[in-house]
Amino acid sequence: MLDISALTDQVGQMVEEWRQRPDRMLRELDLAVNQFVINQHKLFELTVTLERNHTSLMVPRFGASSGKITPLSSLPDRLTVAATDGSQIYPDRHEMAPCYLINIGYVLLHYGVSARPLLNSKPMLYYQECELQETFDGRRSRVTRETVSLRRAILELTELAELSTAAMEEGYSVVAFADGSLILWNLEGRSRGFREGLLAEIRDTFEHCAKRHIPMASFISRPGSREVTNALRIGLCKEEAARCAHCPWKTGESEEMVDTIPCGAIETVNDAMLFGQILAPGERSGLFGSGARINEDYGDHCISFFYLNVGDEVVRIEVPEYVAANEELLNLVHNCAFDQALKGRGYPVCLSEAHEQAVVRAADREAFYGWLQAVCARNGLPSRLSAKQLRKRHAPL
Amino acid sequence: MSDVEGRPLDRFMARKVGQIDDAYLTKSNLETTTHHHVSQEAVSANDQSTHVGEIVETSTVELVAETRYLNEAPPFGQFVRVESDIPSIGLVFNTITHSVDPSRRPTAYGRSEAQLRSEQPQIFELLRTHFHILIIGYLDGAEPMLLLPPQPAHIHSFVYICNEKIVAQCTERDEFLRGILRATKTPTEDLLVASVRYALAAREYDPDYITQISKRISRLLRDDYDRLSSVIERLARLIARKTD
Repeated sequence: MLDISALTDQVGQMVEEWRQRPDRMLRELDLAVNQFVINQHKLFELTVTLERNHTSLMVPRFGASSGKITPLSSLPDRLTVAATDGSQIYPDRHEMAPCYLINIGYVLLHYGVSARPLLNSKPMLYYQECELQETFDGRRSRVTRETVSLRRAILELTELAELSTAAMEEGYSVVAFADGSLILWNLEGRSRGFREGLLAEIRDTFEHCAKRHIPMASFISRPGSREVTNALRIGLCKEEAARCAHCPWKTGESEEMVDTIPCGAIETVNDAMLFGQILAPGERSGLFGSGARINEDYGDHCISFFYLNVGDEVVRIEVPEYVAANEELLNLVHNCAFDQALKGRGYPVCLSEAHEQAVVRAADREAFYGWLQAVCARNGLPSRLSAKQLRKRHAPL
Repeated sequence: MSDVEGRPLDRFMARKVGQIDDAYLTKSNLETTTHHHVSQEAVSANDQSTHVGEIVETSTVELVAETRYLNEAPPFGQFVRVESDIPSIGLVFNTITHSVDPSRRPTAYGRSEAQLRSEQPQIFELLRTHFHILIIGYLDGAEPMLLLPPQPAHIHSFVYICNEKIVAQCTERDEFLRGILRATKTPTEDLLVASVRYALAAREYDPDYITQISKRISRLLRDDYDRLSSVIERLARLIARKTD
């Protein structure tokens, strides 16, 4: 039970701290915008500078069009938007049965075509021993929540590709949207076999869509990434070449104070804040290649991103290489993402509906386990909750 | 696209999560079975193509049905037949269109329906039309019995519009009027007028029947003059317009 009144002082202090932040943030934001404007038309040259540096900050790969700002153009009269989202019931050793569930919600919305939209979901139950175990560093252990989330992320993409292909085969012109990042950061640090298996699935999915010219993109609302601003921070470094691990400003080698570290001058600014000052509604930024280490394993289908002002906020759109390299597909993704956000009052309507189809609420979870218990009982199988779970549900006074 | 069995989107929906479509290469036995299943459903759906709704809530005196298509409920006062072990007969008295999901309510967009259908097509997939049926009797073989049925219709039973023969049989005497008058949650007078309209239409506004039904209504509402005059006035206007 949360005692709200016990938080009064802490909430007061937090709000006071927030009140003092805007001044510093505005100052830093101004500086970041200046840095961007100075470098806007020579961002590609920054790549060379960045290569000379040994930075611990994640920086993007710049291309010839990284500084370019592109306005909105028109959408085709007939267009079909596909989207998927996923939800799950995580494995829980306190529950009655060792299993987990992934639910993929999918939607197909047609515009300018008189066809009924498709809104539905597909649940999948995982219960076999091989699905409930994972091997990590030679040790076998129960499948974790992270692994389930990764499987779900892959299924969202593979189902999206399958849905889009089916729609395309029925004669629709399709744009496919996924929720969140196309870059599976969580794969970093996983066992080689697991990681390779999932990466191969991603590469195959993009290859499948690339061959059929189906643009696939992901939409990230309120992105917290700082790749572009990180590059600008390195531009502020006063060293010959940045070497963050041995930064003299941090180790005290520098004579100046630690809190005046040059790259710290814009450290509170993220990419969305920066492009919020640069892009007008509807405009998209140039393209940047993701600097994530895992992106190197995407091979020919490495991920690029751009920022887009959808009116209420600046969002990050990620696209695989075949979209990034094709201006026509890129424009389609840009215009369609904006239009979807407009129709969805700030967030793409296709993704919010896919979420609604996918979501497994607490009541659904209860209903699932209740039903499972009844089926087990009918078949004479024992199904017991752990003592902890029982006490959670019915804590005696 | 005419081939329902082989439609790519149907195949996508029938496939399990993570199962890749290999139908482009060879058709596996599994898929053939699935397609057979789908086509069976399609055939049975065609057989029932005239149904106007499906029962989703059931009780002895009142049923709730979901329409096949949005906003396409049978008219108020229409006589309907619910196909079940004991087929019920009732009158449509209340139609509601609302969200499928109780946690999501429709909100105003300031757009016409045509504009919304083109810009926000998903909205219409998330709405459902339901109609309430007041039970007035049931079919004993082909014969209508104007009594409440011994068992209510089952959930998922189909609802059909009654043909004129059944309407005429049900409205021969005054039991259907009594059925309407004893109901508590219905707009009684309006339902009385609307159902009598169907009774008249089933007899092509036969003047003898008009006299007969008017007398019956007068007798049933003799204790409530205001109500009676309101019903008779509305019926008279309706008949005048029809027989002009």
